[in-house]
Amino acid sequence: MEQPLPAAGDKRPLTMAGIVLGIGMGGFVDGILFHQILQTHNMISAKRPPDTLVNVEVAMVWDGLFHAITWTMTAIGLAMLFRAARRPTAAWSSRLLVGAMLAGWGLFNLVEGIIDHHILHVHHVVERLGQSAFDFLFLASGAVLLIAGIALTRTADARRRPGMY
Amino acid sequence: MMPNPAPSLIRVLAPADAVACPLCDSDRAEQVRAELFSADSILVLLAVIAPFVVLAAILPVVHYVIQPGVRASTAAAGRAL
Repeated sequence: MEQPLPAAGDKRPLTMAGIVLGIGMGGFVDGILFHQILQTHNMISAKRPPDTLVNVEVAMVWDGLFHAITWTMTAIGLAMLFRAARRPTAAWSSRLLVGAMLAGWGLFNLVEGIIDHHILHVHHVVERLGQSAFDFLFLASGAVLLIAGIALTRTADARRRPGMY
Repeated sequence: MMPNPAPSLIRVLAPADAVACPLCDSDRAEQVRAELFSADSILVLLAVIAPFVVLAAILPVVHYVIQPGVRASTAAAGRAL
């Protein structure tokens, strides 16, 4: 006997969970890669260059606050993912989740880049250069991630999980 | 077995005023606290929070304005199945 095809589901719960997770994890990429591993900038490096121990300590506190917010976004995204998994009408697809996460990461790069690098000038991607091509490259990466994420979510399968009819 | 001398050496050789953590008891730590609680810290706090406030404002737009089209199309696909 043929198995019935899973019914189409609502893409919104998984998409929203993925976007919030992408924002949180995109923030972690920025904080871990640029603030800590490469140390090209920190949260307030344009205002207080890390050239004294006091400035480094102060910046570390603000970086910590930034990481606390990205951690909270990631935790909220996980809770939303858990809720989406329990909804029988929710679409369930890896492509949809990955696409939404890429879109969230792209949104983070665009919004954080515009506000912090271009409007408020609290830091720049490579601080010793000031505002540079790297800031625009950061924005471009956000746009590419957002477009790729939207493309993936639009072409993703909208079927519910097997057994969720 | 010989105890590891490194921690004791660091404690003896490091200048006391090199300690600058926010909760430490030193002159530099006091400077850190003063910087953290200065008037312009409010502006820095806003700068740290601002991108997340904007992102949080975008999310309902995505959910209620952009996404209903997706929901409608999937509902139509469901009827077609």
